[in-house]
Amino acid sequence: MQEEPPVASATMSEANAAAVVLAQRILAGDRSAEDELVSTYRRGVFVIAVARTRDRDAALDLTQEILIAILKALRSGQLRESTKLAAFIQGTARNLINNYLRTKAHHAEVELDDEAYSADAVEELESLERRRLVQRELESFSITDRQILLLSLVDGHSLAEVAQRLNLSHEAVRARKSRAVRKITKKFARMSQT
Amino acid sequence: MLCQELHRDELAEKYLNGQLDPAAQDEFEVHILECVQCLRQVEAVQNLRQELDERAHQTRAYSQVEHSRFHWKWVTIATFSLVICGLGAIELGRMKSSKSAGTHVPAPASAASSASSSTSSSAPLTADNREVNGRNYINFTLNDSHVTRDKAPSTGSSPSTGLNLKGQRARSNLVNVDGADATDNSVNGIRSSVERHVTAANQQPPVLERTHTPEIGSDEAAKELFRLGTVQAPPYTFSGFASSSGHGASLDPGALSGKPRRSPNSQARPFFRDAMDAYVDKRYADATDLLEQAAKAEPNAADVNFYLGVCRLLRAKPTDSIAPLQAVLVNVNANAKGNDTSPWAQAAHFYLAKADIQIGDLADAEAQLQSAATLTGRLSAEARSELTRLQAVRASEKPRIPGSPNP
Repeated sequence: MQEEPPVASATMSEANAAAVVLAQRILAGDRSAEDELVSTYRRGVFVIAVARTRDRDAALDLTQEILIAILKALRSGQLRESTKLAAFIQGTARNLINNYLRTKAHHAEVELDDEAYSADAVEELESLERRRLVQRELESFSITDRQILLLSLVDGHSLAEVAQRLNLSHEAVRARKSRAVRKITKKFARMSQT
Repeated sequence: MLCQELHRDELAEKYLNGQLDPAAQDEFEVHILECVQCLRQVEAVQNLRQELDERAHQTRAYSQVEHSRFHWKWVTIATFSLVICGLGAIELGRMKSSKSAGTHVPAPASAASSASSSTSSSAPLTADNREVNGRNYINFTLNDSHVTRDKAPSTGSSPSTGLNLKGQRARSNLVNVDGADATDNSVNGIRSSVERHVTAANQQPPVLERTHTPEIGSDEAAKELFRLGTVQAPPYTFSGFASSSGHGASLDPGALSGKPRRSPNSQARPFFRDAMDAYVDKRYADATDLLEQAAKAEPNAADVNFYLGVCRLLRAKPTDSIAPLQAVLVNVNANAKGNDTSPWAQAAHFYLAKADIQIGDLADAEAQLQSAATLTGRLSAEARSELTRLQAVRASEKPRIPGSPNP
């Protein structure tokens, strides 16, 4: 049996190497490196913020705040191990989101130019396009598929519970759900690449 | 963490559902920051969840109606097929009978057939001299068939509530050979048991206690009103956070009032907190009792009155829900400063509209939705959408719906 090439590992090693260089460039005062960092990690930070707050509006604000905090920290050389840039970003994001959840008031005390790191029009359009794609795909699903997805992804029911509720077999539910999610994920990835 | 693990263990879903422990959550987040492919997958599922969440109400209602319709459609088709086959056999028999009479072909003898058989044949009647497909056809009556009375499963008593379509009493979809009908609570094809299915799916109590029933002239209008009248519990979260998707987001007391949830009357708050505990657990009966206690101590509290109204609505008591929801509006209007209206007002108007639709007061429902749509808040879009749909229903059914101006 032929072993699958470790594509993901290689990609991640490259990402780590790039992160080291990026952190060093930011420390050296390279503004373009800051833009690069923002464009690389903005979407990931936003996903984390949405997942943790379950509030897209708040997540948008928090993403800004987190990126600004990260840039400030990198500029002042607070990143001790530049190989762990992702962990540093995640830690900063987690702390700021937790603060936000505790106080429910987020006043960004920043000296940086907010506009420089706000989501640009292209990003907004891409986000809108992604949403439209999901809407279109969802429309194409049968009502049973939609119900399976709703019960499992939104309501958090197990596949067994979904199967029982919809009077379907466990295997049928698993297959239908898997197929639907895979279809959307594939299209999503394809759109992100183009 | 490996990408394969993420796919195999459905970590994206677990992560988005908050089912990972803190350490795994941190590890997962670091991974998606480093791995673009996995990030895309999480984004896709996140977007999918959002879309599903936004149209959850529609999906639940629609699917149950469709499911029910699907079932009865096939039962109806099967029954029709049986009846048509039976009638066809009879007709065929008659045709052959008349044909055989015309050609003097010996007809089968029997007491019952003598009237229809005009032949004067005296040939001996054996199995061999009958027409191949005509054996015993004269004796074929419906009593001999296996098509019997409607065997619709019992679904309870005849509907005393619900939408009365076209002014007719509810009848079974099944064709009854002997002309009798069986009660099955169906309403032009939509069985009342749909309500119970929807309830089970939503884990919410039934919502259709109707004090008077508008006569709706079309299936579509009735279904639309059913959808418009269905209530989804607005979320309440103790952390003060609600999903931004859907209308529930704005219904957090903190979010709505724009200030911390503190009451001058601290005695009522334990009741309110316990009530909200019950509410979150979907124990609406307990929540209602506790909120009634809280309302005694805090008769003017917007949050108490609002959730009391919503709980009653969820417990199929739309008439009882109106008073507390109106109390929200009275209190909010009394405390309003200039144009600064509380977001409670919009939510109260919105759910008042739901109550009105359930009790059949469509004119007032329209007015409430109009008020909700004009106010600023996260329910604005939904209120506008429902207003348009309600107006369309009323326009199409104007002569029949009470509350509409006479033509």
